[in-house]
Amino acid sequence: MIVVGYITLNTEDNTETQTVVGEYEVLLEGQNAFNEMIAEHSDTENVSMFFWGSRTSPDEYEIVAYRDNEA
Amino acid sequence: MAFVKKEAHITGDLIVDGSIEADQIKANTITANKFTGAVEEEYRCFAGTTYINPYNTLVNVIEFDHPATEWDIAKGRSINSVVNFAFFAGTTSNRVGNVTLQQEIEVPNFWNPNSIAGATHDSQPETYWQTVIMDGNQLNKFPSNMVMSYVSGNPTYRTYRNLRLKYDYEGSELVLNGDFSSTSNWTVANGTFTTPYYGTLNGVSGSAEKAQISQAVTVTAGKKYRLAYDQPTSTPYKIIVSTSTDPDDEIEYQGGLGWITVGGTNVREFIVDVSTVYIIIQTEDAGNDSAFFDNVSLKELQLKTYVDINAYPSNLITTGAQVLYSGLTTGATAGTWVIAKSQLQTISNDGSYAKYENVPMHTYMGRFHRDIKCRLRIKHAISSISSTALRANAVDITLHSRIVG
Repeated sequence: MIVVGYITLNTEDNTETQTVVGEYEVLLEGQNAFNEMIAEHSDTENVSMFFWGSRTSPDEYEIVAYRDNEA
Repeated sequence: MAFVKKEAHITGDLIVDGSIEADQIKANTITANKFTGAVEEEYRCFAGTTYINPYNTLVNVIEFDHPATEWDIAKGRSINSVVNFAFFAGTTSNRVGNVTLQQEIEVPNFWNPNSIAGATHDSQPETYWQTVIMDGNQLNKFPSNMVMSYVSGNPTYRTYRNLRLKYDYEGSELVLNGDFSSTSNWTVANGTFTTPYYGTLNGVSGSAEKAQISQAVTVTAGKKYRLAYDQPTSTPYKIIVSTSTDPDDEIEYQGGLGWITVGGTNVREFIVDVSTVYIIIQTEDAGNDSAFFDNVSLKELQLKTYVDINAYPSNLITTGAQVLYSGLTTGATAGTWVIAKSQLQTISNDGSYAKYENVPMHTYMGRFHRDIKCRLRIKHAISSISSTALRANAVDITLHSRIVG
């Protein structure tokens, strides 16, 4: 199961918050959602990076790739 | 008459780990499917001082390319880095926290997943994990991070763990009627053979021969086999693996000795160099001697690669033998950075103003030939230190490519 989302950085204490945008079983749907998320949230305040994850159980996912927010 | 020497022939593989020299090689006489380049290639990168700052923020230490292999030959590719951390705490008070080293690769614009092998389901070691088996040694085809397979035509990437090789996978049973439920499939000589419960062999009083039964079994030369057999009573017997029904033709191993049994289950392993062996069971002595035996079994021992693959929400390997691929790119789109290896290290000043520590990290990317863009990033989570306190000094990186099986 693919998990896509973004990480928001609190600039005061440099702590990070992960926000899951969607989860997908079909690779192509996950890739589309990832690119759409980047287009949508590039200008969102304090978003530092977009992540590509793999869900390993109902309660856990692992970030396996990411892209920095270069906006 | 002129001296004539016939050409020497080599049948099979000739492995040369070096070079071949000749005084003369006749033109247009060498043909081959391919000539390979270096067995092993090694390149290096080096970064100077990088300040790891601010807190909890990934810092680029160095970005580099792992070059395509010579002649585009698929090789096992690895990145070995050693980071020399210099920690200037500026105080003798304890400053301690974790440092994350992250070896990343960039997903290229085009990437064909490299196949590993056909995999079959073995077991479910725990919830959301599936153990699968592959024939032979496939260890060097697994990258450090993920594997991939097609589920209903959809490329599906999963994390894995417990990658290991085992040489004790038992093939199917080769001995017929090894539990002696009847006297079928066994040829008796120099005595009487009765069943059931277990096999019983009685010799002939006054005979100079030992009583025996035998069974021919088809095997594969060069393969390893496990022979198991029970001695159900206190009476020992002799079991022989031979190339004929004659015990004198026993296969040669460990001095070429037949085996005298002990009570309970006995197990022997050996490699054969023939295509048929005869399992011979004999009384220990000639004449009026008896032998009692049971559960005679011969199985090929096979080399298998095992790996546990994450099985959430369902098993990756679902039907028969399914091809497993390297999941190095994780399925992410081109331009995304894959975490090929992530490593945590606790750094402490141990009550000193300055502390130095070397941290090695090994990343294996599997077997492929093309160039790939890489970078090393580091972040720290050490509270109450200045922006120049933690430095990655003298980062040595070795890029390794080697022909692997």
